[in-house]
Amino acid sequence: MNYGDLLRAFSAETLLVLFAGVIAFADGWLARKGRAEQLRHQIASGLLLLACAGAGWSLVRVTPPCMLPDGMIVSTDVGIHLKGVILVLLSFTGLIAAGTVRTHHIGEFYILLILSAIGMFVMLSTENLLMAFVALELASIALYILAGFDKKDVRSAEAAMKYFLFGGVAAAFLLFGLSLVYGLTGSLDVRVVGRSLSHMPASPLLLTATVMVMAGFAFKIAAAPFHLWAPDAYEGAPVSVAAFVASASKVAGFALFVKLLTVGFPGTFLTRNGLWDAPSWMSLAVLLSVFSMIWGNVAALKQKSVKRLLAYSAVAHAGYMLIGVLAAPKLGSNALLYYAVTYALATVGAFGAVAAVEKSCGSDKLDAFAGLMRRSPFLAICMAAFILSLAGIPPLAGFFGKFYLFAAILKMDGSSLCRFWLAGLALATSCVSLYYYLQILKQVFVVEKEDADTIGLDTPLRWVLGLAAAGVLAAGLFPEALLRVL
Amino acid sequence: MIQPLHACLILSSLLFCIGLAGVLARHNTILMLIGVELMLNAANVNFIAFWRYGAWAGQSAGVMFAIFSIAVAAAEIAVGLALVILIFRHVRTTSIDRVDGMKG
Repeated sequence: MNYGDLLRAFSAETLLVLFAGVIAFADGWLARKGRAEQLRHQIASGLLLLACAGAGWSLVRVTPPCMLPDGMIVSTDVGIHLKGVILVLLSFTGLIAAGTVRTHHIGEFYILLILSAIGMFVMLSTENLLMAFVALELASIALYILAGFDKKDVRSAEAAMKYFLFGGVAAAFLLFGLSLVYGLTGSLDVRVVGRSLSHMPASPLLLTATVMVMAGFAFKIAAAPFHLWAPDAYEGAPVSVAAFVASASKVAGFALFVKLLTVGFPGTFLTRNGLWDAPSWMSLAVLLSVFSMIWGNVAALKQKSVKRLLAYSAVAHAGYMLIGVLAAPKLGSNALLYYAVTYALATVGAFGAVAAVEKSCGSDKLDAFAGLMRRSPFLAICMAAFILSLAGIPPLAGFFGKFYLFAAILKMDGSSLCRFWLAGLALATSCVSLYYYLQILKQVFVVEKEDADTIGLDTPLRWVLGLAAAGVLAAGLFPEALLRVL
Repeated sequence: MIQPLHACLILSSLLFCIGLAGVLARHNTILMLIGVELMLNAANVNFIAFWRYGAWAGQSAGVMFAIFSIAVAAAEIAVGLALVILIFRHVRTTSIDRVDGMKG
């Protein structure tokens, strides 16, 4: 492979970096001219949209199938489709941010969003432990800064600090686990690692490595009991950043997670005497999934802030998605990826709606949503679509996502994973989740508010809400179309 | 006589535990950052030890990973210190106890 091929393989990432530079220059020039911040927001977010369109075009047209040595870059069709999803989420985030982020450093905000997306791109296309770690950190570090972007609000600083400390500890766990994996196998290529680990008897070193890698990932995907950063980070960070953390980083994180675990770690380790199966990442994933489903759903019941409620529901959804991770080695990961993508769409839309309400009322408490149907019917209907999709009501996408996940775990053979118990618990906790989701909708549709003023939506936000709601509905009506490409 | 690889692994495990204890027990954000840094460097010790003494000694992957992770850790700590300054501007202290506005 020569450098020309390499450049073509990285054309989407290169375009994004170039546009980040253009945004820096354009915004710096406008700032020196003393132009209004609204204009700077519009130009920067417009350039971000242009960057997304260009990168999407280059994903479709230019990128050839590509394999670098040691699994550094392995581009697959699924990876390219998921990159497209990340681009959509990035442009939605940019449009939400254009009307809501309070900062003087406007260009930097959009540049950091782009850098984080580039980290996610590499996460989606690598099968190498070193590249995976660096990409994960590139995505995360940009998000830490973004979470603290509202410098006037102490809660934003607190959110960023908590997100950073938990993320840093998670990175250290992951790195330590990866160093042990490297020591055991002598390779960083995930495929080679998988081949040598499957012939290796379970040793304390191997189990330690597995536990540490799982702990690091559990922090990153906010699975209980490693989720403690998520509610504070979602509540304190600027809404658009919370939307990006909840959607795009979840999709990329789970895609990387499932790839590393299914390829790199065998489902069961051999033991020296061969009499019993040593516990592996699967037993840990079952535990994390059970904790997340119960803890997330129960803690969400008593939340008054909608952003915190969405954060705890994100923990619960991480639990459901872990079921998909468990099913992936046998049945493939498309049920998981369908769930992750549709969840991301619904979440980014829900955060967009929260952004609109917060901008007009200055609060994201449940009672700020009272009488929303009267104040802005369009916003209310979009919010209903997102919330019902998160709750898993047909015909919206969330229903089919849950259906495929639960069907996948039931289709697995072998009773060692207690799959019936897991599916039953998932069903039961989804019923619990209906309570708090309908609590939001009750405020929106039933509760009346006397001094209700109408909420004006600016055009970009209206487009984001409309497109996300249409996407959620379309993915629910035609699930095969999306399942086929994932 | 203890083998050098084992000695290195014991050292790195100790470093990791000290770092983790520091992050969990300290209330000062700067000392917590030092804890995170210790944990990351414990992993670097592992990489170098496996590269030098491990069963696959001599392959450059371990050193490469250590160099990359040092760079990543430096970036991470730079961001961390910036966040400490951001917090300090609001509450005039680096103690994490004063930053507990959000609960639930």
